Amino acid sequence: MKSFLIKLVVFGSIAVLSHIVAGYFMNGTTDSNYLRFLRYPNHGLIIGTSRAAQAICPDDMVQHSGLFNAGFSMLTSPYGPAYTKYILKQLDTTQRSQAFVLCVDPWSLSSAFDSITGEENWIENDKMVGETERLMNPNWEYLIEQYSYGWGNIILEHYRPTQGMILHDNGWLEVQRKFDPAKAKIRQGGKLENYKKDVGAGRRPSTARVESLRNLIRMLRPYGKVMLVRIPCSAEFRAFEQQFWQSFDQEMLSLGNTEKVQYWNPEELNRVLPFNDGHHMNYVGAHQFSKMVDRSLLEQ
Amino acid sequence: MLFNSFNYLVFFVLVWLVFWFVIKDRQKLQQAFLLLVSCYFYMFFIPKYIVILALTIVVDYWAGHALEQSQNVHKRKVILVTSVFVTCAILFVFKYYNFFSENISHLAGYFGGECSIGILKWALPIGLSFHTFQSLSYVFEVYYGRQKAERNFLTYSLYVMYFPQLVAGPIERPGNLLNQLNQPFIFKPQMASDGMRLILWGLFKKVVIADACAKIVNFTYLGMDTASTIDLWYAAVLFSIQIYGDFSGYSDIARGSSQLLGIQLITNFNFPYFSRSISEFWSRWHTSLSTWFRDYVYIPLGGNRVTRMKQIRNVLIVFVLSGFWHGAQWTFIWWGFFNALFVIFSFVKLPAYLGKNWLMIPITFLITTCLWVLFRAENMHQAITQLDTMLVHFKGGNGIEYNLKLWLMIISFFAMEWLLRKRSFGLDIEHWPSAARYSTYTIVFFVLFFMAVYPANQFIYFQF
Repeated sequence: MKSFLIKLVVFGSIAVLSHIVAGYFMNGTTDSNYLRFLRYPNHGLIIGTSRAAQAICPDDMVQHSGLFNAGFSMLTSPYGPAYTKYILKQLDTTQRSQAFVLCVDPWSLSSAFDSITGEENWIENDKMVGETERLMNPNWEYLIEQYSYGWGNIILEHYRPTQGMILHDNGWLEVQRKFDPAKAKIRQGGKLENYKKDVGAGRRPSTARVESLRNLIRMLRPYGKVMLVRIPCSAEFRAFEQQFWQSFDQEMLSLGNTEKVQYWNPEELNRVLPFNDGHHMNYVGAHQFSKMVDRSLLEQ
Repeated sequence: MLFNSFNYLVFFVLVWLVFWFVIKDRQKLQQAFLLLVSCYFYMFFIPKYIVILALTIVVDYWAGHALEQSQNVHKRKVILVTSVFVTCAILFVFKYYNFFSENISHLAGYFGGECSIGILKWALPIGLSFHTFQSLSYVFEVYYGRQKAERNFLTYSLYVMYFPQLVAGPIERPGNLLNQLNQPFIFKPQMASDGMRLILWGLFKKVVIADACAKIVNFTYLGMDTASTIDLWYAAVLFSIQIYGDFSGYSDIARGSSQLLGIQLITNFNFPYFSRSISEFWSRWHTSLSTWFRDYVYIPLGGNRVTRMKQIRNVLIVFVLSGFWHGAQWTFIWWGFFNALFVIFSFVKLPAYLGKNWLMIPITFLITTCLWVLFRAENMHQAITQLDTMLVHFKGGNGIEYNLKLWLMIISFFAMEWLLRKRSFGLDIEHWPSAARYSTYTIVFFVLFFMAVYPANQFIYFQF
């Protein structure tokens, strides 16, 4: 037993030490979510899915500095109780003059429903936003339960980020991909096909998610300005979204009016800004768009 | 609680420390402790379903006693049938009811009628098929007089619920597990070292090989309609590797964990992809299930000692049942059926040079790969479409990104298994010089450290 224990302790120590060393490399290259589970001081939040995560760079918003981009993805952070709980953890309740940009699109406000029971699938509940209890620095809870690779990968990603994807300290997810219209068009074709066949086919607009959005607006309003934004996407993608949820813009406009917040829908930018796949904005476009959001927020 | 999770690591370390250092040398207390932690382990999934497991345990415990006490042949048969009926009824309700309900409804519709007996919206208790079969093996062994009925209810409960093999086997026999549980627990360093090697190798198979393959396989299945012949062959081959890494990896971790507690579980895999025929494949793949069917279905039906026609019938029954055991879907039934056909084909005596030819290994692997298509498919339509594109109507194009790192790992994995195919598992390197041994452990550890993938999905066989 003694000799077995000695070997176990030696190998166990090597394992633990390796993981601690990997811990020193944790940052925005770790994965596209880790930094969002740290506690950052902020003067407001950008809320939404991956569209928001890639389209709004807080550093470009000079009139509203110190915002933190808290957008994840359509599967992780659609509007609902789990995401609201996360936002409340990031919210600084000591400040009253913050700014909140709530990005909306048909995907962040729709759900899949069980074909037999008709029950709404709150898919995010058993994903990182629903499962991670604490925001802390470093966030061991996130790394242990949500990080999907061996921790050695943290070191590898630190030196060679996959596909040039970097999550900045301000929460902006930058995809460092040189814009190539031909390749973007191919990617858009695949993405659109996927949305038509799988994503769109299994989902429908959710009144419960719209209600969650309404409650979130009411919760945030006492702490500063709130604005609803529909982030541009390619014209083809927008056409499909229009088909999926025809009255989306009217409903958001009506929600904005009822809750006395602006709904900004810069549809004209769909044909102007560059998109990586028709759905997510390219980083060059993101810098331009962020400045526009900043100006629009100023007009609130 | 998944074997490849941090939760299991913490759970197991605590169990191991308490088992060997706090309650050492107190057998009854150690048994009670193992039962308690097994309950906790099971309840980590769906807590209320422990009641179902308890019902199976009570019924089969009673049946074992009743069978031993009775000398009357008729009464013994009644007891056996009652036990099998109740145990299988639970399995039927949770696993097969909806399958029959839907098929009856379809059949009625086909003949122009209407028959709806409703659908049950209950989740399948995890590992139900495994512990049902394990519990039944005890009843059969007592019935055939090969095993004495267990007097101690706690020991019997532990036999069914023993956590390392509770949710996905190996399907144990009382002659192995129950007898070990009745002996004092003794720490054997050699067994514990083997256990650690099994865990390390099992983790490598699961999180480096299987889960990395799963990513590509799942991606291909998402775009099945547009996938080319090459894509589908690629996905099918990777699925063959995935399911082997996943299930045998699970079995290795189960055996390794158990050996650290001083209990040796039966071997479930014996390098199955080095088989030279489908029949040999089944003597190496999931052997705890195939020997279960051999002992309790095939042999009672007459086994090999009947006419050739009856032998063919017996093989068909066993494989179709085995397919159905895996899941209540037509894909599994046909998977079992086609495996049976290939086993029946092996009754034909091949020339000796062919039977021993190494070329039979890749041929058997390719046949197995095509059969796994049925296993992986969501329905028969998908399976037929995939097989059609793979084998008949070729489709051009290539949409898959080939992962060089993954293939390097797969080749190293099979090379290691080939090198050690005469040993009991792919990291059974106790006989190597210590420098080579420790270098290998270090390499495997760092491969895990750098290349492991931990997706949220469970082990494939948990669903059975």
